[in-house]
Amino acid sequence: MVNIAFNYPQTTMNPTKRFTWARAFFAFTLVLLAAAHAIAQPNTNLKFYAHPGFDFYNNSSQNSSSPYFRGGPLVVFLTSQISDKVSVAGELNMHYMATTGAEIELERMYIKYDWKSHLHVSVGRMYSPIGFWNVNYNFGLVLQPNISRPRILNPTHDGGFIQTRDTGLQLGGDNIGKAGFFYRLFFANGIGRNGGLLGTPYQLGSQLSYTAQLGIEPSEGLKFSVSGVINDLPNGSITQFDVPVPESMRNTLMTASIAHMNVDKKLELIAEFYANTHSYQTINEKTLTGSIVYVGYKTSTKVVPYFFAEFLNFANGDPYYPLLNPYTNQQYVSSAEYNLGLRFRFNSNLVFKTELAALNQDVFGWSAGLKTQLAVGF
Amino acid sequence: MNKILFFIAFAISIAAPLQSIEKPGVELAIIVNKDNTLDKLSITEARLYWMRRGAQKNWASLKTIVLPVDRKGASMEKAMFYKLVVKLSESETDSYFAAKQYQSAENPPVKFASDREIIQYVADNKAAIGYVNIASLKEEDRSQVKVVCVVAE
Repeated sequence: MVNIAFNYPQTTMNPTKRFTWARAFFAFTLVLLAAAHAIAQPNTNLKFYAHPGFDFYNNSSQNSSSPYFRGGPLVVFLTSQISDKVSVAGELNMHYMATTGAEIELERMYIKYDWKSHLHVSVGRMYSPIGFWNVNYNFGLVLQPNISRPRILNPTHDGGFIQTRDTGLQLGGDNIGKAGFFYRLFFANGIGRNGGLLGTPYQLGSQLSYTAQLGIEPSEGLKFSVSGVINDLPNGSITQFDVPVPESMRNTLMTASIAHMNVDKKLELIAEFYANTHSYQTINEKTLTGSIVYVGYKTSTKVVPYFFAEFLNFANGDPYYPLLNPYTNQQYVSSAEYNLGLRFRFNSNLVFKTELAALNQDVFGWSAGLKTQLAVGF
Repeated sequence: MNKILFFIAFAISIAAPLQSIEKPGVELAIIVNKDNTLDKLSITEARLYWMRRGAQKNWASLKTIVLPVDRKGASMEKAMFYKLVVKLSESETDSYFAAKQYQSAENPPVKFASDREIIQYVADNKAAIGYVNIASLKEEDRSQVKVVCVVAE
């Protein structure tokens, strides 16, 4: 199960943005402007999210124990209903990572036109319509049922594996017919697009990525969906790890998802499966699979005990992945994780979560842990 | 002992009508804009529209997204609306709308401090739906907003 990475020269590690006072000033000014705008406009709403926490892991086979305070990001989320049919959303994430330092990232910024229930159009940067988790829970962790975002959905710009957000044009529709059919079609830049505004225009890359999601919601909150992504990466394309692809290839992702999350119902369920395949010209096809299961039960309006498990399985020797993840300085290894958790909601703006965790990683073996998180939205 | 019981019974008989005078039965009016083609909603339908649930996220005839309106802070009308119509606590409702906002850029309800402001907002926005104490509706308001449901405890 251990991933043996292809050995090729690594180019400049980590394209991320170093924190500067100018950026801090810009972000602070932006937040102040947004706050002033939100106060002045009743149709504009500004929310902040944060989720500090503390983890403790122990691995007896590695003779290691790790107490660790998580700072978490400060996330600014802004929405505005600028007309009956047009809304805007923006999400700014300010955080600190040990390997890359402080960063500010624009997670989302899109304009949405609700033509009618069966057709809405969004343009900008948004979460890719894959599965249930990715489009519903990201940085507003006061809304997320457990502590950690699934590893399979780690953002690519933080060394994650699949494209979880992208810039492009999305068509969608909901509540079609008695079965509550819904769909999303997303045409986006995908992995392998170089340069952006600062690059040479004719070298931006030649292939878009294409994502489709189809699903039904037969009763409110009960969703079944499948999604697929196709992203061709010609020779010379740059991966999210800032290195060129080993050779011309096709990146495909298939997901299947069942979710039952309804404010009126006690049982909460999310089960998803992901298969990310790299098809090369000469190298054997490699597939990364991931699956997650979340089950919770509302024992009262405030308390929810839950179980969360995730399984991540790398194919041997996929040359797409560097030997070490440049964002975490760790190997890509398969893992299985089990968490028993408890969520306590003081009110809509303050949620405490704690989890007993058991994590089995290739190479490192079993670790046992205790995780806590205080998530706020204000 | 009999005298004491008689005194208690007398006190209760005096106090009961006084209490009913101080807290008359409140009726809530759920209101929409005059251009809305719907004339009547059940409490369940009003709940679905106000919470923008499922197909009730949009006004089909107006072809616009529903704009729910809420009261700021605590009020008797708000407590009654949450208890009888929304059937969730304020905290649960806030979480519900925060999730909708985060997931699909739908603004949470606009909040106003008084019935008068709510009536004005609903009159000015054809997609709005709100609730007010029925006693706050003046005759001239009824040409600008429609009462689609009346809720009483």
